[in-house]
Amino acid sequence: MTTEILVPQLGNEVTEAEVTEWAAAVGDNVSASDIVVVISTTKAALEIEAPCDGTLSEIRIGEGELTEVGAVLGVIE
Amino acid sequence: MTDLALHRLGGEGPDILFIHGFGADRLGWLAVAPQLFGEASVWAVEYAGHGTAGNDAGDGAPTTIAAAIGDEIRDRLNRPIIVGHSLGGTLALHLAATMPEDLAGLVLLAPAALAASIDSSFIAAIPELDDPDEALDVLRRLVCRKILITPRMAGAVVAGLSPPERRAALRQIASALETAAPPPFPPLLPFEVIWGGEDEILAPPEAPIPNMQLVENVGHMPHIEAAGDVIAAIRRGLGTAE
Repeated sequence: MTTEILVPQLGNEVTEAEVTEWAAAVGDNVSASDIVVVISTTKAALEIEAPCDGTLSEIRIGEGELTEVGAVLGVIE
Repeated sequence: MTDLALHRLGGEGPDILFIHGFGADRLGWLAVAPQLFGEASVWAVEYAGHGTAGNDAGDGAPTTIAAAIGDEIRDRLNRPIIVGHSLGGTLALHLAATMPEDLAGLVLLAPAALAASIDSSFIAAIPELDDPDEALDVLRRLVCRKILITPRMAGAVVAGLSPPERRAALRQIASALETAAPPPFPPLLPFEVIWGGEDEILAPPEAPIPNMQLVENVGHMPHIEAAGDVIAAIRRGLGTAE
């Protein structure tokens, strides 16, 4: 079973964010509520928690890349 | 009077009003405000020299800014919970003192008025920032985990300060803070206080104060570094906590 890590809603005015840092690497075991990735806009940062326990199997948006609300940042298996 | 701008950020339900700190704006609530859209009508105010507000700060006094916010929300918002950060927390306490019957409660994030001490050099530095690298060093003092303040953010802050009137408004507010009388505390409303244990800008109170949560490994931005704790406190105020 796979669970996607998504860019959450950032408000009506903000549609994109930059991946600032991955706090986990592909292959790492993560627990629900662990911070796995940090995204940011020009105004604020947001620490995104793992949505479930599992292994980070894929990083789709790398550090320094821009992404949009709702995009899949990575995948947990 | 003083300029300000009231924004409806989104959501439906009881009203919440966010008041930013010195040098910030409505978009700084990114990690908290959208999470509440499913249960509240979320608003944010920007005062003079910040965000989309004009640059007439009047005398810059917290009481003046709070009075303007009170005038703006009295007939537009229905007994909001006010969430105020830093200077915004001081403004929230002034509002609680002057219009308690119009507010449902307060969530205060490192409110300046309750600080044991204030690093006035940080306040003085903000209006003068003109180099992105220097700005990055200054702004990273806001957080415990320095990665949370990025070069893009520092560049945006410097760009936002390009109109001289903006810098003047910030200087006026900073100057007024030096002599401002603190608002009454505790407020005659339900309230919670959240403070970062590693706050480099405003030191937490030395004596215990009621309803205060000190969060370790968090700096001056609990709404960034302890967003879950802040959301939980707001939900307790709303009565929607799990």
